[in-house]
Amino acid sequence: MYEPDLIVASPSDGTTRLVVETKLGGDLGAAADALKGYMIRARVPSGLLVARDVVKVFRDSFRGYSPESIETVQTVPTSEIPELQAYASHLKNDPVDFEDTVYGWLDSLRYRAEHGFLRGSDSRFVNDVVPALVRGDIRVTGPRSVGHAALG
Amino acid sequence: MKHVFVETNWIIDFAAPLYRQIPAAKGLFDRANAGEIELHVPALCIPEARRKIRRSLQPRFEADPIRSFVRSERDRGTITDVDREAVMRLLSRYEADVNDWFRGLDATLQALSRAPGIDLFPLNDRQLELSIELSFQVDLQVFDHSILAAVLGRAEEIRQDDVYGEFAFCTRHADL
Repeated sequence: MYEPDLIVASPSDGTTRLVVETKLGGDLGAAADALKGYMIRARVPSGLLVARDVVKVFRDSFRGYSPESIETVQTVPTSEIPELQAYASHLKNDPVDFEDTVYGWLDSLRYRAEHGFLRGSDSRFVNDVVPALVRGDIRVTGPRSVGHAALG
Repeated sequence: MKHVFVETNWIIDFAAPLYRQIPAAKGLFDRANAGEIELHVPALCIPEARRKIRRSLQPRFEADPIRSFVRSERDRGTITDVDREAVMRLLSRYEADVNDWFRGLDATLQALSRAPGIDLFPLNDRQLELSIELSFQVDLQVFDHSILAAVLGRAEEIRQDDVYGEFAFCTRHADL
């Protein structure tokens, strides 16, 4: 059974607000389909596919119960996100480290949004990613890397 | 002069989108602008208000459950496509309006800090010392000790120059 790499859930009621798939290589279309299917099954309104070249933001349109209900609302080149540039330029290639880096990027994005310091491409994530981040905890669904364990 | 001290909740009530703005909060601002009162705001309340606003006023959290309800009811055949489209259109407009307001939030807070009759003041050494004293005397959250110390300390300073002034603390904070 498919599970996304990261979920962002409300600590108060446990509701999952955002699911995140990180993907350094392989079939992006299949990864997007799996994420969209999960969003429908788990009733998660927002999704994020973070790949080496592109970051896609998905949003449930609430028009039906099939993956077609999920729309792509943002497509951002990964190279425009400073935290992820080393992966976009192929300087780093470890998928586990990539997941840690995406976790760190989302945590930084939340901090900047809460304190009014949004910059660059941050504005592309304001409507569909930031709302989940400011009200939720970012959780890793799979085994944790050493880097993540150190982050607590 | 009448000196009115406010804290984070007043900023939230005043700076909220129009449909959520509390008239009494706007009333205090207008009276300060007109020179009837002086409104004193601890500066540390601004970032706290910004953070609380961003957490609590996100329109998605209100709109999405209604969208989900509409989808479910449409699936059951209890509402028409026309009704569904009307609700979805209204919710999209609501979300867009509040998101537009969010984009102007920092400008609103900056304008507030510069408005006539508003005294946005930083914590000074005396107030920081007072916050430590208060932490041994009253059971409050860490941040709230600082706000209370700011209010008490600033009021004491003002009273030295304005012996006959009136002082009020307008708070909706349950502990303060």
